Amino acid sequence: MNRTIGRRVVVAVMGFGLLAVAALLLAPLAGSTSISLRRAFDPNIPFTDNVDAQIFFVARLPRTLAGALVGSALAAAGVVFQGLLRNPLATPFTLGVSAGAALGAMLALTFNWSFGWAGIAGAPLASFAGSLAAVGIVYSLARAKHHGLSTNVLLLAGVTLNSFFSALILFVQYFADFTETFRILRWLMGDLDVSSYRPLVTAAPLLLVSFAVFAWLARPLNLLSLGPDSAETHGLDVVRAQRAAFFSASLATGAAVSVGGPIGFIGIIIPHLVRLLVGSDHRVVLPASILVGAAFLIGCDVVARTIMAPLDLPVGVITALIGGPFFLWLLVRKA
Amino acid sequence: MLRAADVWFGYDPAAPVVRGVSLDVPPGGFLGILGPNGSGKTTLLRLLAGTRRPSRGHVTLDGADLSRVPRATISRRMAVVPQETQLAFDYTALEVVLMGRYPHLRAFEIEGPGDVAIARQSLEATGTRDLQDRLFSTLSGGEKQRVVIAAALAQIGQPGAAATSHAVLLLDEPTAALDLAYQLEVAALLRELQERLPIAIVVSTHDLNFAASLCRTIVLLTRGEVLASGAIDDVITPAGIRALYGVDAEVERRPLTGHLIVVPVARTGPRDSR
Repeated sequence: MNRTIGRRVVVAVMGFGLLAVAALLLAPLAGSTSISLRRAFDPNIPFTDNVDAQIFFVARLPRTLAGALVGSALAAAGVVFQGLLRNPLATPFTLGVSAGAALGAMLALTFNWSFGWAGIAGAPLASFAGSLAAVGIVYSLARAKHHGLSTNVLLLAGVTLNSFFSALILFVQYFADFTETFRILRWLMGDLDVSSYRPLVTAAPLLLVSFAVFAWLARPLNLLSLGPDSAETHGLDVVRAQRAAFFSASLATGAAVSVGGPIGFIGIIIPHLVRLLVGSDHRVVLPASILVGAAFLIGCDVVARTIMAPLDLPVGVITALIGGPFFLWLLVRKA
Repeated sequence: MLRAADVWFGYDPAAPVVRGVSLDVPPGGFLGILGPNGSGKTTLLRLLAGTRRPSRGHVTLDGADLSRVPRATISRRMAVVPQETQLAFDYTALEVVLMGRYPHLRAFEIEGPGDVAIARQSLEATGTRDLQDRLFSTLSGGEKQRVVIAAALAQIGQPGAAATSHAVLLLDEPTAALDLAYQLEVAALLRELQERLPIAIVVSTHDLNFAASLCRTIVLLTRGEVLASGAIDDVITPAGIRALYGVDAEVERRPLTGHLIVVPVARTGPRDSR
């Protein structure tokens, strides 16, 4: 290996960055109605009369940007959770974050909580609060008595909390009427149809904070794969790194789920795909996963919008249809 | 000088597993911590490495109490080789060795040419230069252990040298998971490193002959206490072995190498029949 880590990062960011930018630029052009970019950007046509501009700026662009935010957040959070738990099968949803979010959103949808804050609707807010509650419960259970954060307890508590919250979700759903049940189901499938920039503007700062922590975590995550004891003798403050990983990845997941719902499989297939392409060093894997995750979800959303047009499929169905078989293939390949 | 002075520790404070241990590792020393399974060897090594704090007593490195020294400062001077290393993700041997440079880098800093040079020297010193681009998971047990030792050397290395004086290498049962050929390979490597590099080595083991053929001084540990310590000829005796393992043994000197060799003869009774 002659290439230094610095060059590997630059090559990965440029290569996958190109992919992400291409997806970002092309996706708003695709859809059941074809639009003219020239017309959409023509300043002489008033916005209220300009159908092309309305489709571009109101329907498709926020949706594409939502895909970029959610895809990058879930892919990177998957990398961080897998590194923290030293388990390549972990996902952003393993530790109960998504179940908490789902329960929150569900309560808001079922009981029609109409509260909002700073222009954000009740459901995303409730889902974010739900994910924070799940994070808090799992963390306080996993604080081991003697030394550090027990990743075993973290995993067991997360998985148990997932089932427990799922049971609560069914319980709440029992009280919902038909329309509410449909909305809930739709939310649980994952959907990027945000139709506004507001949720993106709210989620973006949270994701920026998470990504900044991820950048610091890249090298500690490499050391953690040696095991916590070895990581510590290498000079790492293991407890601090584990805590930072848990909270930053949970924050990114919570923010992503509040925008797009619990969109599955991105958090597991993108990290695996990226590791196959660039190796295991988290300094390359993290930025590459952010970019590939964004491109992948934008692409899946284009498929969701066009494959049965004018029917608009929930994007979570598409990622699961692609992600499920791919993941099984990875499993068999490893065995 | 790495020194433990009346060190006590227990994961459960009511049941200490290390009880009043004192020992010295002088610069360039080669100390074996010998004891049966469950005697507290691994815990003692963790205390010496500063990853656990004694509930009583002190571990000092050149007079400085480890519990008051920042982790990275300790790690630049002391490296630990665990019994076995399993990576959660697959890294190349060179990547594993470069992880040893972690305590020398600031946050966000990447390894420079100096760090890569030290990593290469460490690979060279352990005879693993040819393995540098291989994935760690594809290496044999003995190769893995040599790569991990290379990472430890890179960790305590300074520019221009694969390891410096005043550095300490701690190895926890480094051959327990290896078969005979790899055990000999690792023993030969440690002997060679000890001769070529100005480092102190501490190795914990339950293998009498491994310790007898390598170490200069020995601490016999049983139930967390020091049974005997001193130069190898004074400690590895039939009486010492009987007290430690409850086994009658003959101790001979091998004519070829001059090392002691222990031949177990019969079990005498329960362990610790003091």
